[in-house]
Amino acid sequence: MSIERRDYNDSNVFTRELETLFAERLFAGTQSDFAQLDDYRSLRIGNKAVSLRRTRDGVRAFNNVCLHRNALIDLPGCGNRPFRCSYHGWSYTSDGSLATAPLADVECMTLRQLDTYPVSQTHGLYFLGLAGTAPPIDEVAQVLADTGVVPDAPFHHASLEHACNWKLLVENVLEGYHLSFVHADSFRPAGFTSTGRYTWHGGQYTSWNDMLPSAASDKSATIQRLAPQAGHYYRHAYVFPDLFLSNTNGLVGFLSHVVPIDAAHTQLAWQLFELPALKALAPALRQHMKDEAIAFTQQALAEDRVLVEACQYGMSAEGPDVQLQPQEARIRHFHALYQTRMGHV
Amino acid sequence: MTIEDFIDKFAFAIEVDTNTLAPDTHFKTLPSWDSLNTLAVIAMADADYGVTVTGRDIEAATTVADMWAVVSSKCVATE
Repeated sequence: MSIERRDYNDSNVFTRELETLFAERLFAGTQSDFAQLDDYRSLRIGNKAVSLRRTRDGVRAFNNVCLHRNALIDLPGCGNRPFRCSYHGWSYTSDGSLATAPLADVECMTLRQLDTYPVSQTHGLYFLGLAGTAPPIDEVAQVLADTGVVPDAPFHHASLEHACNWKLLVENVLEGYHLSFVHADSFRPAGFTSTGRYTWHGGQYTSWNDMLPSAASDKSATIQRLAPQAGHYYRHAYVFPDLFLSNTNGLVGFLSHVVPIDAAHTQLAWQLFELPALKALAPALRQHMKDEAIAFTQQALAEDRVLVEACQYGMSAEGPDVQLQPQEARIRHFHALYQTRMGHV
Repeated sequence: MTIEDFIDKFAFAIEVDTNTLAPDTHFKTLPSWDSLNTLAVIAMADADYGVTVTGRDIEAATTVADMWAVVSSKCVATE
């Protein structure tokens, strides 16, 4: 049974998704976001403002609202600064307790401790447990191994707003059925089409697929002449509910995550990074492949955006239940994960 | 370092018979030309001539002779 149509438009459902799905495990950044002491990433999810920071005791997550007058301590985005409110200078230690409060009267303070949240880390990927328990990440390492994705510092990052529910963005990347119809200027010229050879696997909160071009379009030999450790394939992984990773030809890694804004708006934040086979190449080749990857990704995301927004329009109009096809088995898997957690089954 | 040598290397890089190429060949109109060939030419220029050719250089070139002009001028500049 599929996710019901109204679940793509309903603000109450959206709120419950934030409180359950996104509270269980939220992608919170990569190793390069927290490389130095005092590197931080300040984010907003639903009614929670959280700052993840590299402290002397590792990466920690704090409620990002100052105990004094409720200003955000770290402004939205990323950067490097002491954990100190810019308004009146109240500062906090690596366990979230109040360190200093200039000119303050201790008798006017009842709270001295920020709420904290568990953080889990694997292979340079950080996940946040807003529900208060450490987010499960035991499957992530296997997914990375199966797809050959080795997260690294990005050579490009950007974000793209979508006028659609976050689930439509997820569903769009979980099938290759649409490739020939939507991606005439990106995936199709790269050899990946609706009839490509496609295999997939699903876990307790992850899924991944391996896509190979049709035999007639296979350029493995040519690619391997240029980069012996590379190949001609596209591997994609999903970590429920918000993280996507992919590996194109063993050369370029892609990491993106959905940031749900409201029931009908979602931001997709994405970055590209070099995989080991690309790093082994001559600088001119590396640069060209990176430039190509940026252009390819921008093109593919623009092509997808039109369609997922069209789905949002369709979902908000009268219409039939969706009719998932065999090529869309990963979407069925996603729906099962969703419904189990939302208590719909 | 002649254009004849360059044509041999260019043909090997893009996997076509040398006899199908001449200085005035519009290489991007060859039936087999695709984006991987751009990478192959960049790799060939690096490996065989020790010069950096960019995707923009290849995009701006029309004939094999145009590419030879790019590569040979960069060779002179690095001597």
